[in-house]
Amino acid sequence: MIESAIACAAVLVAFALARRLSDRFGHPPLLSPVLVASLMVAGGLALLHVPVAQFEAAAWPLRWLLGPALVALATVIAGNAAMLKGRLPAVLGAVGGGTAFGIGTAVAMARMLGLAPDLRQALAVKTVTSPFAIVIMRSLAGPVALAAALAVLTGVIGALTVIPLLGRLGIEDPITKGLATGVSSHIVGTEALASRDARAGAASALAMVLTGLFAALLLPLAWAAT
Amino acid sequence: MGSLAGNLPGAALCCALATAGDWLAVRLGLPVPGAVIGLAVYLLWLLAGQHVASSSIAWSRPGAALLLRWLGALIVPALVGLSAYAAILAGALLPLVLLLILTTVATALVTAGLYRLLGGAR
Repeated sequence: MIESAIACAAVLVAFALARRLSDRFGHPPLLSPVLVASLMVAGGLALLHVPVAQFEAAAWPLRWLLGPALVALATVIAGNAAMLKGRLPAVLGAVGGGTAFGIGTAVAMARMLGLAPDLRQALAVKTVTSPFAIVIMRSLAGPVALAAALAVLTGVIGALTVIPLLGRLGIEDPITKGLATGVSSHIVGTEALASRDARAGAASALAMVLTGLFAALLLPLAWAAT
Repeated sequence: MGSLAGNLPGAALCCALATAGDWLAVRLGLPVPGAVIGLAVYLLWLLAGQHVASSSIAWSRPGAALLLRWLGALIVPALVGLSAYAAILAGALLPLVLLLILTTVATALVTAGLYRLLGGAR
C-alpha cells in the first residue's frame, strides 16, 4: 500500500517535471514528457537499487487508470465532430486505410528483416498511440512494454520526419496534414503540429484516436499473421 | 485546475465505463479491449448530447479532461518495464529504426493520398 503510494507519487512528480521541461523548451519531439519521465523513473530505480519488477507491481493503480483515461479520449472525437461534417467518408476512409497500411507494412517489413517474434508483435501497434497500444497488447497478451516504447519512438520519428516532409511536398490543407500526422505519428506528432497550426493539430488528434479504434478492431483479426 | 467536486463525476464515469467494458469483453469473449468498448459508449453518449439536450453529459468533461492531462504519466510504468527487452532491442537497433522511419513516412503519405483520392481535400 505504502509502496504503491510512493511509486505513483514518484511517477506523477517525474511527469509533472518532464512536462514543465518540455513547456520551457517549446515542446521539441525529443523532450516528449513521457520519454523524459520514464528515463527519470528508470534512473531513480537504478540509483536506489529498486528492482523494476517491484516498481511495476507497486505502480498498479496507474496501470489500472489507463483504461478510464482511454475512455476519456472519446471527448477528443466528440470535441472535433464538427470537423467531420461533410467529409466523414473521406476521413474514415483515409484513417482506416492508413491504419491498415501502417499495420500491414510494419508487420511485413519485420518479417522480411527476420525480426524476433516479440518485436514483430510490438511493431503491429507502432502506428497506434501508446495508451491504445498498451491496452491492445494487454488484451492480446503481447509484449506491452516493447509496444509502448516503439509507439513513443514512432511518434518522435514522425514528428521529426513527417511534418517537415508534408511541408516540403506543398501539402497546405490543414486537415490533410493533420490526418497524415495523426495516423502515422500519433501524440508526439500531434503536439508538434498543434503548436504551429491549431486546426491541423485538432485533425491530427482526431485521427490519432480514430486510428486507435480502427487498430483495436483490426488487430485481433490480423494477430495470427504477426 | 478544477476542484475535486468538479472533476469527480467525469472521472468516476470514465472508471465505470472502463470497468463495464472490461466485464463485457470478458463475459462475451470479445477480442476488443474493454476500455475501447467504454470509449465507444462514452462517444455515442457525448454525440447524442450534442443533439438532444436532455441526454447532455457536459458535466463529465472536467473529469475526462483531468484524466487526459495525466494520460502520459499512466504510460510511464509500461515504458519503465522496457529494460526486460534491452537485449532484443540492442540486437536489432539499425533495422528497427530504418523500419520505423520508412513505414511511418509511407503511412503518412498513404493517408494523405487516400484523403485526396476520396475527395476530402478541396
